[in-house]
Amino acid sequence: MADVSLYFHIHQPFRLKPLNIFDIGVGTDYFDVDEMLDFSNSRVIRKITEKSYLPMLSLLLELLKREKDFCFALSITGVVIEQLKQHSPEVFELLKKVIATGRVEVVAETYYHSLASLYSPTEFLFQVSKHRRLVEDEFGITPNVFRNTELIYTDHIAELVKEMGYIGMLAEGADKILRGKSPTRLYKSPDGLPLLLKHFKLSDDIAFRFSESHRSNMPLTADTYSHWISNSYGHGDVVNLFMDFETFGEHQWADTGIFEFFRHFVHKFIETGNSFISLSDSIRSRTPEHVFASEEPVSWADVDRDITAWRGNSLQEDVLNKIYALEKKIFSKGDESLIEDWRKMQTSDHFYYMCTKWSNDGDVHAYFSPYGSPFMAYSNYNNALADLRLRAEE
Amino acid sequence: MAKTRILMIGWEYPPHNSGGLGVACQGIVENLVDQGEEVVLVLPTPDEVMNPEDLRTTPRGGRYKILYIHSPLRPYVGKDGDEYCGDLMRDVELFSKKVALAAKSESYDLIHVHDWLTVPTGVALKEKTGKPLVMHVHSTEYDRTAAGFPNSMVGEIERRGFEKADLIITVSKYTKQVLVDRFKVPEEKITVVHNGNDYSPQPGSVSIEFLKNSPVVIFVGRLTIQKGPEYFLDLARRVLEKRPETIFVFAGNGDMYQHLLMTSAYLSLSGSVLFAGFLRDAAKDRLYQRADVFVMPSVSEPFGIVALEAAAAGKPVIVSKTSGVAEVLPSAIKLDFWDSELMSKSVLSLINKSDHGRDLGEKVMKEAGAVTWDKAAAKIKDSYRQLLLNNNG
Repeated sequence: MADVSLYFHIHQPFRLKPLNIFDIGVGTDYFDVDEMLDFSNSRVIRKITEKSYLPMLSLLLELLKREKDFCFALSITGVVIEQLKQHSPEVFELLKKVIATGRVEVVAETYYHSLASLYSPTEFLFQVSKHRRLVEDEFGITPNVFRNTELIYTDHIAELVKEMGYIGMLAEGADKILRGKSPTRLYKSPDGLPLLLKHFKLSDDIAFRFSESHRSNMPLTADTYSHWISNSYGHGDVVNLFMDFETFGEHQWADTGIFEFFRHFVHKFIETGNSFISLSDSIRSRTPEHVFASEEPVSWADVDRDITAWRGNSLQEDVLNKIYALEKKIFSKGDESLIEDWRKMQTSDHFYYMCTKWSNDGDVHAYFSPYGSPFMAYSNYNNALADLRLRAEE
Repeated sequence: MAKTRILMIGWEYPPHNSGGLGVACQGIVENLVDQGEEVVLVLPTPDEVMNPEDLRTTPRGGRYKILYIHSPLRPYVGKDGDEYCGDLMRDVELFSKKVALAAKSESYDLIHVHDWLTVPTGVALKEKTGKPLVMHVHSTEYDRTAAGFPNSMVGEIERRGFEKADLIITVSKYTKQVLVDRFKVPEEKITVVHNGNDYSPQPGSVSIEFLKNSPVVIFVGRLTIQKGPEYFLDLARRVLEKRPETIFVFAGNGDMYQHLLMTSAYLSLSGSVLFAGFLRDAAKDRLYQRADVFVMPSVSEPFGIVALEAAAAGKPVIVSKTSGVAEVLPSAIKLDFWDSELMSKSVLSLINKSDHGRDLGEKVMKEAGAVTWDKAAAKIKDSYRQLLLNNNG
């Protein structure tokens, strides 16, 4: 008998359009990507709508109707909500319908999916509250639990999150911190904020390894998977399965059988006496046993579980320093569109595209990047940055 | 006087050029043709050749023929970081054979080759036909590797060319000296013919409404060690300390692209140093016309046509002392390529006192106007005559 908390993350950045030096200082829009380009924002949204958002949301709605004890959590960034409303209104309506069942918890985060928590506490607090207002306005609910961009955790961030009044926060159950302890227990930050830790092995069995041809028990069946969970865990354990929403249909295509797998897993899991539990209930029903502490950022990305995917080379470090160094100047101009562009340029994906790590992770990076190389990503962002700087200093 | 018939062997040509050699080759060919010479230009092309003969017309109505030879040969070995993947020596030899075959049906008085890649072909043809060989030196391996680690194979080919050529044309006195000092080429075998320049962008012809409110300092050229792009970064760092709103632009590609991006970011220059890639036509015009200062910190630059282009656009020009173009632009500021400190003072004075910059721009523009391909071609034509005279006499 075991409990599982499911949480899916929905996010798409406003990608920059290809910018050259002649676009700088002439009032060019950075994000208005030509419809004809493969990586235009509208085309990406529509592609993922077809492959993932529509089929998975429909499946989730069906499961919510059929299984009265089924529940899960979603985090939906502000920047993806804006784009869904514009390019995929049918998905947005479906989202509302799913959330209106009352069994879907929406998690708090930064509106812009930014790394502000590492650079500017004031900007971080602003972006979280802007996201909360959006969730309240669009879905009529107020988030209780917080997740930071890419599940980035530091003790300091936990302090800020606690101050904002959230009852808990999600983090990666990284081995380097847990050192053999189980991610299924409830933890707390040094400051006392309850922490739910991602069970990365069981999460990644779906998110990354589901269709791997060289796994020993391929294909992974719902029975096996359900069995793994209920056999390994018992009273007081909650297995936190956290993953990108796009796992379903985009990272793992429909032809891998991912949708059927998920449908069967949910039925099988409940049928065999286990339950799904919401993040809030998982926190409220238990008392934190141990402290989970890290002054260095821990994230859910790559094998390193650190932030080197976004801040691992000089390209990334410098543009991150530069974008946050502009904060004061940007606000002194009092120009709303300037502030908005500055914030959209903080979305972590821009820095992810500049990652130069070469490994299996590098392949993952290449798959999601609109650029031919991390250097091209830097060069393009560099042009946008130059323009933003000119506007701020004008 | 009877016209001279020239079999010219090039290796890149506009619009498919990645460097100054193609520009120079076109300037020479078209002006020789306009001055009444007969030119057949042989070029390697990586594409399957559907129509090997291409009749071209110069802007002034002269006609010449291009013979395309299918060959994977391409200039700038190691460009963009990838090494030449074929067997270079085999490709050069194959190219020579194909050229010899194609040249059978052409009649010519002399063979004119450009730089090392065409040397083996020129030497083979000379040995076969007994026609005199002219070797035009636009750069040597010594320049390209910035006096570092030359490719010994390329160096060997160059030496062979210097030895076998009946006449060597260098694009500057600077390069003549390199040949005399480093390669012990007899001085009397070398004629200096400075490159020309047909480029004269018309003010107002393109929009320069970009990068507004910032002084703009530009680097135009391949991003490779010879051109000293790292010194440009060091210059940027120093200037930005005093004038943080300045924008520095690299226009060009090359094997140091990634390294320069990394270094620029490491020096915390993001948002101030921009990488525009290789620009041509209107884009090139726009950059030159928008620029406030042009800098060419080449470690060793036989000529440096881009400096003439910037001068023709009326821009103040700073070039390294180790460059040939300095010889034809007496007013240009000439500094040691490594002296970024002095260079930064120079740039700052040009952008701080715009009169100073404008005056210098006007002076070099006048000087650039006097440097023409027409003159260069006339000098080449004369040396052909002299060569044929000596050969027959």
